[in-house]
Amino acid sequence: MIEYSWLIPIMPLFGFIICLTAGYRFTKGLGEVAIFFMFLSFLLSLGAFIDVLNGQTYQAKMVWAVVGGKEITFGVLIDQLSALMVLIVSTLILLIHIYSMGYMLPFIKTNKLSRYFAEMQLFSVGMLGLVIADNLLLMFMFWEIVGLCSYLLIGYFYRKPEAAKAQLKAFLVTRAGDVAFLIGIVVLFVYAGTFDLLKLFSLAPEMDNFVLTFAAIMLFGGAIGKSAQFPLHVWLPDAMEGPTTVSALIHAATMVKAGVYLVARTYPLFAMSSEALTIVAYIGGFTALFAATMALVMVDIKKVIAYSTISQLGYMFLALGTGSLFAGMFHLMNHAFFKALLFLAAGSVINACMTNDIREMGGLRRLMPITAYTMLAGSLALAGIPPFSGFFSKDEVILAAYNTGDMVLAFFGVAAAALTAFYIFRVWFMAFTGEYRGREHPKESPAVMTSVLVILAIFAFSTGFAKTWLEGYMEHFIETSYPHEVVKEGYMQLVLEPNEALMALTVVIAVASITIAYLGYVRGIPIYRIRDVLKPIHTLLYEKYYMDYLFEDIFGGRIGIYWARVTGWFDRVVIDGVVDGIGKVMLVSGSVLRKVQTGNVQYYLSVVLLGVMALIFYFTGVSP
Amino acid sequence: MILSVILILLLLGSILPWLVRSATIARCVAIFFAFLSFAASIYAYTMFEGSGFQFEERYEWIPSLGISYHLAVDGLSLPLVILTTLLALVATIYGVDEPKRDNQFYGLIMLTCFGTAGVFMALDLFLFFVFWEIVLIPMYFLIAIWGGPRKDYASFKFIIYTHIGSVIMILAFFAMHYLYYLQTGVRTFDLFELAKLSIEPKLAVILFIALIFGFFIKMPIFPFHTWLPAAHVEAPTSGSVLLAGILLKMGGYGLFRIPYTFFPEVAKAYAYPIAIIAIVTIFYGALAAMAQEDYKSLIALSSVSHMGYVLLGAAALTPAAITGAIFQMFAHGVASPLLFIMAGTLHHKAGTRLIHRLGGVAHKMPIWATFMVTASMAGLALPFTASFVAEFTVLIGALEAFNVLALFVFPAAIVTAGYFLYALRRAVFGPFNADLHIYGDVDAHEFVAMFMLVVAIIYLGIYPIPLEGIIDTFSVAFAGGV
Repeated sequence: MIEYSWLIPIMPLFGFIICLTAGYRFTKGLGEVAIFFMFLSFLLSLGAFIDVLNGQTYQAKMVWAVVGGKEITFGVLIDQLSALMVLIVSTLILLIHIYSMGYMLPFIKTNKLSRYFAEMQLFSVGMLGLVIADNLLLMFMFWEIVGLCSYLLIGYFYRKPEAAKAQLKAFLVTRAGDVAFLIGIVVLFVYAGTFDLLKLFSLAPEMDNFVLTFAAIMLFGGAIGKSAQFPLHVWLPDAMEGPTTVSALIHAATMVKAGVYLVARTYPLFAMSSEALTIVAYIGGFTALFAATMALVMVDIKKVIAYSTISQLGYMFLALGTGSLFAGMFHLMNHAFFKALLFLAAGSVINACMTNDIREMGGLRRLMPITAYTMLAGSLALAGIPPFSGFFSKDEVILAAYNTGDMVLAFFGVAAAALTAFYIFRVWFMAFTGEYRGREHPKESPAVMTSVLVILAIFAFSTGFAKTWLEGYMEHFIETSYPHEVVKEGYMQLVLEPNEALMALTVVIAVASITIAYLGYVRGIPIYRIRDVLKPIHTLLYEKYYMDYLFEDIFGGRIGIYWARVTGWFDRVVIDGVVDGIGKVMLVSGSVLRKVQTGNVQYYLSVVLLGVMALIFYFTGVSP
Repeated sequence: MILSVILILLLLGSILPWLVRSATIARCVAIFFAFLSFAASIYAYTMFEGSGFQFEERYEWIPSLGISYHLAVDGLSLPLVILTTLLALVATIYGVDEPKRDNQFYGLIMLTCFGTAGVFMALDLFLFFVFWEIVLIPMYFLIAIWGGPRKDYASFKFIIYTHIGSVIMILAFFAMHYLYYLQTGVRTFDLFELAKLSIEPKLAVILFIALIFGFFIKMPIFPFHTWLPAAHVEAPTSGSVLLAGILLKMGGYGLFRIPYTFFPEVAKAYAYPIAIIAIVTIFYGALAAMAQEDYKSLIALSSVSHMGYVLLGAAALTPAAITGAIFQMFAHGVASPLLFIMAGTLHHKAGTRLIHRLGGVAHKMPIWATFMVTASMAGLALPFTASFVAEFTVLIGALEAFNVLALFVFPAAIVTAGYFLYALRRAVFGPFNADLHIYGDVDAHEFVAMFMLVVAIIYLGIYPIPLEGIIDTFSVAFAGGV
């Protein structure tokens, strides 16, 4: 099956074309078409994964362009890393497509489902292509396609001004990261002469360290934008304007993981540069804590989960930055499932209550039990309670940070874990316990949605047990795929020795946080008084550290629009003024010309002809 | 012979519509000959092999002056000839905005394409200049007759401005002709012969500047660009298609064909100043575009910004940079006409192109909106569109040549995305503006014109090598020669 893996992104392309073209005529059956093609993709991914388990890897390429005599090839690379990732991604895309069949139904009257499925299919093309691409340029190209689909899907309800604004913001902020990414790959091409990942890896040990570090940091710049890390995280909470399925698929489970995957994919470059890795670790660790603080105070259920996503992505970068590829990928896998679950459960709640505000929910445990308990499984996984999946991977991340001996990084990890357990249970308790506070009549979602929730809950519970297996798998990957020098001289941690004390500490902290949330939001102990005491801090968090103000008003408004207006004014008044001024000086000749301008075409043509003839005569006249 | 065939087909297409009585037949005739010329240029492409000039034709025209009818194409000009015939087809299919003297309109459209194709083929400087001037006249009338409210101002500005460039250019041609005569005693305007001239450095600099000045106006490059938004805003849609698609490319083409072929040492010596002019043009065009309220002037200024990449590629003068610059000419030559067609259709259906008077257009014109988003993505050089391949290749070349300076160009991508998406947000998305009256979605002929360009854009974005291959062969030889 592995030799057919290039078909994995091609399958949804058919779905995209069908949905795009047939969508203007047919309204029914498009979802089924999309699911059908995604199912084929899923089977191909599974087949490729099984072949990889049996020890095969695969690379195939073709010439795409010639630049200055150098051939640029494009192809697919299926190895342990991409096979695992492509399986995770295609599973999630398939599940969320199925869930969409139920979730999107209420919107069919006002918005075309064909557009939804076409854009989701195009997204699948980009995401699957990104994962199996064998070179940086092709990765970048698919990277932009998923960015385009993210833009389009955030604006799915484009008639809402907030959605139109959010999609613009998402595109522009991630574009800033993409510029860095592009600089990185162009620098690598100019210095190494190739985009091919495997060739780059073998060249990496001989490359100039400054160039390598610069390129690695630039690649990470792309990851910061896509994976919404500080300071480019501002677009992700706003991206929640899209349908919740989109938030689950693109803004939690897959696309935002692309940044993590990029760093993991190009890890041999990072592993040769301690500076690049340190930057990755600090940005990741800081973001993990920073985003978690904002999640504490949000009242929009999707925004809490969005900040949680940013925070958890920070954990993954923390793991990669501290040299543990295994911990990063492990957390990526677990998080993809439990965060998709949390979003889809939230979507189920939102459709039932017709609001995002957790203050207008409550008591839903009795009204929608499947949603409640599947979301509980997701919350336990996120909070890191054993034996749910998040526990295993978060523990590995914190362990990797602790092993570096840098206690700041370890602190980021532990503190963020404490906040995480609190904020997610704050949401769960407020939404599902107590009395219902809204005005709707919430009821459980249809089976097509709840069945997906149950499947994801099983994943959220069980993927953590794959730890030992994944450890061996990744170790095998590093041994077979990375140049020897990278592993030997690089800054990588291969197998992490378990540290029981640290593990116990994180569990105790998480349980304590959940207890506080329980006391506050179920038992009614007025911990919100803290909010009144710490009013300025609450405001700071609620206003997202004023970073939206910085990006929208300062960068967008004051700098962007202002300079555009100044340039526009300069163009109209100064440059054109000078040109017209020169024109007015020649007014005399102009008035003469105007008399000549009769509007008679034959007249003009004869004048031109006469001119040409005069020219010819003039020259033939002086010629010897 | 194939090149003359293309020219004759275009010329027939420009004469015959005047002779028929019905507007419909005139249009059909124009489309028919545009299609034939496009087919002929594709045939030329399939026959094109390897590198160097091919399909050469040479007949004496005015022997006493050494002026000859000398045509040939290479990897630089063949893509642009294909582009010209493709846009002839697109422009005639899109047709006239409002029925008015239709026969003449189609004739002038085809005449513009005839002149432009001639410019791309001519290897005799005098012949080059004749074709160059032929282009101006029909374009002048297209703006002056079928233009918008300020058509007199715009058409006059267009002809005066580009004519100043032409005059200085022809003086430089005559100077080279005369110098060659002084050195060898032979009179010629032949490009190959004149390229052998040895000119003392100081004079070379003057001639180089005189030549690039004319081409800078045509491209256009900051600060000689203000004729372009004026002309575009007033021009009819098909006129804009040709103006942005091929007339600007005459400047970029001329730059490589004449000053950079004749005076490569001067070009190299002035690489940094030219690169800085290019970078300023890229950013200036983008920022000025963001401030526009009329969709057409936004697109016009985006053209200024995009042509800056062509100049940047020329300044860098590495094989990658040249490939990128030429590919950018083709990519912009399909993306920008698409954007102008979108703006023309919008004006046709909604009665306005002013962004602040639009809003939520996607609600009433979903097909138009789909094409508009695609066109904007091509404009902001999203991967899998031809523009991405082009800009990306230019950036590689620029980084090879200018190192750190080139890093400053990359952020232009944010500004470019900014103005395209800011306009989309205000005009296409958001709540529907109830004051607007929209008369249906795109018409069939508009759809065909858009679809052809989208196919070209995406095909070359996914698989550029059929076109990029011949360009790159040229660039490697060109960069090796200079």
